[in-house]
Amino acid sequence: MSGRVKKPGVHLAPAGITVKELIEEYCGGMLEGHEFYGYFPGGASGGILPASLGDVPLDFDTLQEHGCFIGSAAVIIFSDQDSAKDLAINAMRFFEHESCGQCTPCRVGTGKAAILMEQPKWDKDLLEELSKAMEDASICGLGQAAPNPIRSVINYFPQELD
Amino acid sequence: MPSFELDGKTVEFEPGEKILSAAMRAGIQIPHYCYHPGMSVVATCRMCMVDVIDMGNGRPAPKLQTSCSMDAVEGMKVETMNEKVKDAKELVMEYLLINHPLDCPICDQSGECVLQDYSFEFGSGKSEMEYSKRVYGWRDIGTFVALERNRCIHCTRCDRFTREITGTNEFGMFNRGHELTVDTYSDRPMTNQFQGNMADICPVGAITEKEFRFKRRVWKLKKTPSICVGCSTGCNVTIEYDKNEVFRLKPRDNPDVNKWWMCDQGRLTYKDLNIRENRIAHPLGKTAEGFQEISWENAFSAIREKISELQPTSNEVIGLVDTHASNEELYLFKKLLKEGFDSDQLFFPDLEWEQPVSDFFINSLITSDKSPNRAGARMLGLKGAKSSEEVTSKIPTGTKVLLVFGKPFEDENLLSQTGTIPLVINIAAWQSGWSETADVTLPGRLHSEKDATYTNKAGRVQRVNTAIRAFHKTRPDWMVLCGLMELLDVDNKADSAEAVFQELSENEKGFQGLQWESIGSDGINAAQFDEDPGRNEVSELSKTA
Repeated sequence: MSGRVKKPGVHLAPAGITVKELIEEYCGGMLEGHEFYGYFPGGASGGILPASLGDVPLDFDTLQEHGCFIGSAAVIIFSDQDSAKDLAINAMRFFEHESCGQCTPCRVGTGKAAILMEQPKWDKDLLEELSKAMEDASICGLGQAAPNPIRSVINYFPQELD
Repeated sequence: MPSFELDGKTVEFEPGEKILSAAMRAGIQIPHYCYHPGMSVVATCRMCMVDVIDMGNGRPAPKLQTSCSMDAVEGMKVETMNEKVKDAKELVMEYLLINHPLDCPICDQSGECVLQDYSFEFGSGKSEMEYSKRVYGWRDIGTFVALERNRCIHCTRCDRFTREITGTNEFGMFNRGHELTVDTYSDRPMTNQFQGNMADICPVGAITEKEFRFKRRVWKLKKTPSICVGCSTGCNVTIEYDKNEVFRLKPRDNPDVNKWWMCDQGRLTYKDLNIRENRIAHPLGKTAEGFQEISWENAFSAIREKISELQPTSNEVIGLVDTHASNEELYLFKKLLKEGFDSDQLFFPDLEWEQPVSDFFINSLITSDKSPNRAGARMLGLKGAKSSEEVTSKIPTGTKVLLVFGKPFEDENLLSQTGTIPLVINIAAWQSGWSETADVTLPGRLHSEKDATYTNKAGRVQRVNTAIRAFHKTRPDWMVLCGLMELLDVDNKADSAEAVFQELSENEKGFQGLQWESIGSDGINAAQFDEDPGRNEVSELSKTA
């Protein structure tokens, strides 16, 4: 667990627990003055979910229908003082840096996605097209999962894009 | 043979073969950049993606698959052009072009660029990327090729080439992500002798031949299949020329000879095909005032008169031939001496030569025997001489006629000794000590200017074809030799190189049963070939070779 919680760190919890339970029972609640706004359920590539989906059990195959996955179960909590869009850009810069450059979709896609996401207004259609190519055509999981933050922001945090 | 279904067509495959290579063998093109049949599969360009709708077990593959890396399976059903595949290709094309400078108007690859072709065929024709492209500076990467990294699409063929084909490991992929780039290690220019191949395999204009840069647009070049005569390997090449000027030689893929490769030295032999200065352009006769241009009729009649005056016996006629002569020429020369003068005193330089043997096939392409047809001379049973001293000892005093084809055994002692022979005839394309010694010089042609066959070091008979117009007063060498046979009243019916070859294949057991047509563009193995005793296997060519 990391992010805006009182006790971040490694916690041992049963599979199927929800993120709200995790925050309250394991991490001592949110930091003072912060309100739970959203979370990365599984590392940088697992996608981003809003607080309204804070009651979804975290387990293998339970997040698929929301376009996310549990991945490494490295949960990142963010609050109303953060922006999901900025966090997604941060994740994409991470992918751009981590891409080995071997295959075309990931090599070019991560770099260009980062540029597109830094624009004041997102070109959603173009980003979706880019995401689809990366997902379909990349060799490994890095390129295939790299579009998750983009799609999550478009799906769950549309208010930040207007 | 097992088979699978590709776009509704049945395609056969060898067990273990990949979809892409089976499709290519069946004549179906699946676009690809990183795949090369001579190198390992990396599946990184993602251009050869196909939709496997049935993996042979009734189930579809979960995602699009790269056909270069996926094994073909009995009963598999593959679609290469459905909407899903088309979309993926379109996007991959767009991605590849995002950082490509699109400088086709000044790029030498333009016209034979796979990026252009596929973009036209599979691309969307639009770019949605308004932001700046990444730009690299110029680097010197080798003696033979130039690198323009901005054009690179990172297929890694060049990197794999130095690792897997030459084993020199000079080239690599550096950095990662979108900063991935190709370069040489430690900024050292490459020194391997096969760099030209990297320009061939580069699907775009990132690596181009320095020799050919900015010389000619490729669509202007005419192409004639031929072989390289730079050494006894006889790599299959295409002579590419425009307005009677050769611009480059490109290897032709032939699994039995050179695979896809050739050496840089061989590529540079294109220059010789354009040289006009040292060529013999018309028959020459030696007079008191020096060499004079004479007509063919005068040349032949002068020779006839001289021979009838000399009345040489069989011991008094000697022939010397170099191994740049084709099979037909060697055969006719031998026949001329035999039937015209009853002489079998025909010598060719039979030297020891080095054949590199290495773990890397490509190194075996360069031999130290820098002539294309020594094997042909041996197969035709000509007499070998190790050195010009040996030849000198073979020319008895009192020799009346010396026929020299090309410029064999060019040596001052030999040349000055032969000055006393009453009639020296030289048939050659190039000026040499012999053309300066000869009483009559008859101009021949280069391999790019005639039809002929050569036999390579492994006994493979290969054809060359007329590409370049020669000086109009020269004649193909077989015709010159036939002319000499005519004036000596030797029975001869051959009226073309092809006819000479047919006669040769009927009379010489090494060439038994070979047909001009069946040689084709890929060559054919000789009927009988004995290993050359002068062949020395070495691990590396010696410096002097």
